[in-house]
Amino acid sequence: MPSDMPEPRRRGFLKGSLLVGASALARPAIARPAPPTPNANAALPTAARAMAEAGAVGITADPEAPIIKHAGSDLMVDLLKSAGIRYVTATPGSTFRGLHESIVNYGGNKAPELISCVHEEISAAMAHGYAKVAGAPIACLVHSNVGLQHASMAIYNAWCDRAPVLVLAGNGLDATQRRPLVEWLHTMTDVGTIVRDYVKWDETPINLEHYAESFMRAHQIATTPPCAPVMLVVDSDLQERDVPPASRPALPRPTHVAPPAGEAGAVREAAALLVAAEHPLIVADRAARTPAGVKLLVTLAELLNAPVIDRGARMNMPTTHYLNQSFRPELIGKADVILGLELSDLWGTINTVADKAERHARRLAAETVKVIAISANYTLAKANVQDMQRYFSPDLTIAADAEACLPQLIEAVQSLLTEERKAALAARTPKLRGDFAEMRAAAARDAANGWDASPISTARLSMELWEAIRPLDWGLVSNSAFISSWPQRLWDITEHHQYIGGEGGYGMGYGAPAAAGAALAHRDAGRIAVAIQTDGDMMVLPGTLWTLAHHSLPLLTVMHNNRAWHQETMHLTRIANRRGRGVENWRIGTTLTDPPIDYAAMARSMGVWAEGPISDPAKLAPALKRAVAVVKQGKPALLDIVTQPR
Amino acid sequence: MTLPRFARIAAALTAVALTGTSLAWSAMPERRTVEAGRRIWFAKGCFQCHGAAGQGSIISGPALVPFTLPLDAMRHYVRNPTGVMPPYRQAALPDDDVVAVRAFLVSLPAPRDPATIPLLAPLLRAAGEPARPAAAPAGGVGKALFGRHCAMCHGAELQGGIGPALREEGSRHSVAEIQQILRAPPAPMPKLYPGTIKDADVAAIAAYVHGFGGAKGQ
Repeated sequence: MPSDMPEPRRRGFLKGSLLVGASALARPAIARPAPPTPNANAALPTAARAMAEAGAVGITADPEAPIIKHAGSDLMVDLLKSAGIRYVTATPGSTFRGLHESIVNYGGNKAPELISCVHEEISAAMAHGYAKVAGAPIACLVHSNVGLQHASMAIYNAWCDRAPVLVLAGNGLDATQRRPLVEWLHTMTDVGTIVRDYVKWDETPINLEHYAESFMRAHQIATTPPCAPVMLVVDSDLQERDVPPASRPALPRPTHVAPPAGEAGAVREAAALLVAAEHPLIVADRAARTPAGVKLLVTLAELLNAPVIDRGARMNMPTTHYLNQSFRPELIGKADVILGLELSDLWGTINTVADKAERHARRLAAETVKVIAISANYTLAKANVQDMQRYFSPDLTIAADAEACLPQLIEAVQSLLTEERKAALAARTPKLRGDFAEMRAAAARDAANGWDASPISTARLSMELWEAIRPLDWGLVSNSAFISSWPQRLWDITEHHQYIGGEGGYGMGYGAPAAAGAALAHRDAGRIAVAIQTDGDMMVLPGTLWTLAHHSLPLLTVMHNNRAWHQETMHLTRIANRRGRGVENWRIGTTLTDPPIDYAAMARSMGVWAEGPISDPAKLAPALKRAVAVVKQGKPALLDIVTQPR
Repeated sequence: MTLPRFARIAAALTAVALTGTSLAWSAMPERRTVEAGRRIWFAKGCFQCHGAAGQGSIISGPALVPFTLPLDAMRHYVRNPTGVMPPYRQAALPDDDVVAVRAFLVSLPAPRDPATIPLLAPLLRAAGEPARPAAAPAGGVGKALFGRHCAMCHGAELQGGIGPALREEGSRHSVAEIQQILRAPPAPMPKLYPGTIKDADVAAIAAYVHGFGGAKGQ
């Protein structure tokens, strides 16, 4: 027995030995070694010795694990702050957990603030709507390929609508660092391929300095007209690695690019054509990027005494101005000079194709008309997507941002206007004013049609809503097209922020989340947002309602609930008629009935105040009053209104 | 021999009752037709473009109230429309269905005067803009008659629709020629003279159409 064995163990051993010895008396004697002599001076074994003999058992000399004090994603938050990004929309994902944590803890969840969304398409569409109100982008975080695929429809809409969105996609580029299964499924070698056809720029930085420069470049490209979404990959390793201060890259400055203006000679030529025209017409679509754009367009139109058709991708011309003659399409055919400002579709302004079995083009404009086009889109081209529309060659084409070009054009027009010419242009005023008055009166007569009908006419819905919001500082954040443009025909829309156009790409699902993003920007400006929300569109991303409640966004949603994907009901009827069969089967696959969806209950389930369904027009005004009271408190509200089809 | 007084009264009352019953019976097929027309209006998808109340929309189809199109013109147009309306052939919409749909449309209430609707009345004044100068010498009466009898096909602003646009009629025809067209219209334009419109109406409508958009040579 070892002489350095501890005393209690030796006693126990001896006791045991005695017992064994006693039992040995009953058995034949066996030779045993003599027990060792205890050494009273033996030292007790140390922990280090025990570890050396037994191996480490997880106990280290340091009391705590090392902290990552300089996470790469902290720098990424610094970049967001430096670029003035106020919000980051996101559905949480592991590929950007580092950046997520940095936003929340390092950045204090303030400028940028994280906006929680239940689907990445909501994240991207919110960023789209926000940008159009605020005039500045926010960031949208997506979880690698799967998140980006979810977001892609909304990114396409933003591309078509020329709206700046910063898409940041988490990804795990280093294969040796991926854990099995999910981290392989949720990554790609080149994740940008998913959206490359409809973003203006994308990149995959491989170190932090590269990331910093690419981030600022992405911001610059997105915000330089023609604006559009951009995508930047945010590698997981870059986010989570500790970066000692000595290795930390400096923050590049953001770059603000002055938008491209027009070539001087071409602008003078345009001015000459317009001044000399007897029937000039201005057609504007995304002309007014900012409130200044509206003022400039009004100035130009008044100088030329030229009517304006506002195509409505943005608010370009006040609806109360006598030169806003947007609902007189016959002006296209009467014009001798047409000026197109940031048109989505110039070919479709000059021509049309009816939806008939034989697709024949029909010219709308006079054969002799002179067409001038000013658009930054002439500097942007993508081969695969077709949002550029059909090819058309104007008589004069200026590759410039329309708003940036307008001051030059105004100056050129002013220089050419003689007193005699001014008098001639002024002589048009009585007829123009009369035509404007008749246009508005005709809209009122049309609106009176079906005024008391149930389901509720879209005109009645629009005018009751207008009555409820007109005393407030408001912004309409939904596309008016599917509601027969009643707001543009009947409301007083006088400020740039009061209308932001529609989807851009007509991709269904834009409505609710873009309205939410726009409401976020309106909230920051002290305004309320109003959306006339179609039902089919709402059902694509109804989870938006939760985000509205969670972040207290002051959005009044008035459902335009015609209980169908109405455009498709007409398509099915049209095709059945062409084929001479089953005309009465139009309901199959096109209606949202059996059962009808209870939008009010759905909204309440996600924390949004709601009432409905309402199909009696007499009940509209009091319901709107209650809903507006909620929104004035800074909360979202929804009214389910059962409406006529259009 | 004359009937006793009570018998004469009873006979008179019976005659009145029978007349009333006859009238009620004759009204029932009309009500049934209107109801049938309403069902067809929805079943065949007409409401999708023209609205449940016939109010129309600028993005789908014109308003059809008040409906003044004669049956023949309506039947002709739905079978082979000139605009973007899909064709409703005999198999999809038999002649009897056209009759029923027309009855339904005729039964729809006329649009309210927007001047009687507080939310719309201000728009008639167009935010204080001066009233539109008369575009045609006989704009008042002629315009009203045109709206009642002609706008259904030719559009309230003469922009066309079921029928051709008439905005350039003043450049193509004299007032007298337009009057002649109204009196002896080409098919399928309905013949409203002399049954529905009289000589004075023809003169007023012709003057309005001729002068639309500004005075032109006679």
